[in-house]
Amino acid sequence: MYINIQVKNRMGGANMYPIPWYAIILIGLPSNFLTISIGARLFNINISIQKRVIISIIIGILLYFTRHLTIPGLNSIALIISTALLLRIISRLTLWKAFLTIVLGFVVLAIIETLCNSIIFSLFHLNFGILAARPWINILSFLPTIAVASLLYWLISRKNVILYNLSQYEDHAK
Amino acid sequence: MKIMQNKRAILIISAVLLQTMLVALFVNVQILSDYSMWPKYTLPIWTIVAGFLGILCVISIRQMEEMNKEYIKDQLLKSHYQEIETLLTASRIERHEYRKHLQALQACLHLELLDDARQYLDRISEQPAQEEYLAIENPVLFGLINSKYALARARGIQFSANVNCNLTSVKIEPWDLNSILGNLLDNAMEAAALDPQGPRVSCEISDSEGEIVIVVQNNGPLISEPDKERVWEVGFSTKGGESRGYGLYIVKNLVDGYRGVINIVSDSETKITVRLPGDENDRPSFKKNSGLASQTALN
Repeated sequence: MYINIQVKNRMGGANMYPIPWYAIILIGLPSNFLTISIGARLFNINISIQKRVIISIIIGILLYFTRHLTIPGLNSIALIISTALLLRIISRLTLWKAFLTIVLGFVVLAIIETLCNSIIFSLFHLNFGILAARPWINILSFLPTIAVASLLYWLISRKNVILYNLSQYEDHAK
Repeated sequence: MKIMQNKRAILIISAVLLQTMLVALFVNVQILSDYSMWPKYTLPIWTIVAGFLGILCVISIRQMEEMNKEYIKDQLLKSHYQEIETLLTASRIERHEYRKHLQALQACLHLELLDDARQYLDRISEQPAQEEYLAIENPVLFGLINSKYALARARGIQFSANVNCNLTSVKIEPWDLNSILGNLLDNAMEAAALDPQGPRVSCEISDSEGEIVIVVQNNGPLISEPDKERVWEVGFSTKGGESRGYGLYIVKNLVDGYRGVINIVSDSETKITVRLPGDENDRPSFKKNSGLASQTALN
């Protein structure tokens, strides 16, 4: 999740601990990909895997260049809007459909991350100072979130779970 | 009305999602940051609150989906009801006409005008019936096919329907079946109407190898190979114009939803075949044109 990188980054001081490129690849890309995939799947919107990968990469690059934004939350909201716009342009979805897809994916990942972080932080007595100073621990602490989100995505795909069928509304962007 | 319903649903979903997102974001920031608005020991409580809100959010959106389904179902049932209503009105008019003829014959017989009665009978028997119905056992199909049949007659389209099964073997909601067949027939009639020499539409519903097979054929303009891939896309129409190109998109979505298969062949005529998987464990006996099934080719 975006917040995992930026907040930990902020806590170490944005200029002192910029996000390393490998954190973008190992945290940013999978979380962007899962956000789009879970949101689209739950809203029954078909977005090809190539498009999801392309959007995730672009957002990863954006995330790298906006790493100096130090207000937690604001960065996440800006990235949600950028992802929605990219989804609108690349997948030709209507803007509100793209926005809802991203917000739903974000909510699911944010809740998984909140639960996982609570458990991991208490179990391993981690604090943001350690995470900011050691990016690899930051990445490792994010792995359970990715694992749970991937499992959830696999389950909803397998069981064909649809929360709300947004595909029934036409895409005027075509 | 439908647009309003969509907007309302989207508004509610947006509100629910945004509130949950903000709460989750806020709790997450509190967990990760060194500054916390609340004492750190209260964080598990806020985590539980965020999780609980997430579950509520999922349930609310799911309920919206259920309500939306109910709404669509109501709309389709309403349109089905209107079609039946039209058929009933036509049937009442027909009955009224026959009663008038019977009264005239009765009068002739009472006055012993047998020759006049004979002539009268000969004349009315020569007149074509104003309304003819295709006998179909399934009530949904009866209303739908007969209303399309009436429409085809009004447009001078030769219409034939052949229903060779009672459709109880396929687990399909009546409103979905109505939507699939209705859209296919509307499309076929629009295409056939473009043929100046005897427009023709045929529809066949049968039971084959554990599947329900719906075939709708028309002799309208053929569909090119590149267009065959695109006819299922929303908004795409070979006939052009606004508010078009949604029929086959809806059909494709519904057929996919039932894990069915749809294919299109356009060589001498255009034929769309829909295959819907039937329920293997509960297969009815195959009713082949047993009087209730119909085969009619009129006009």
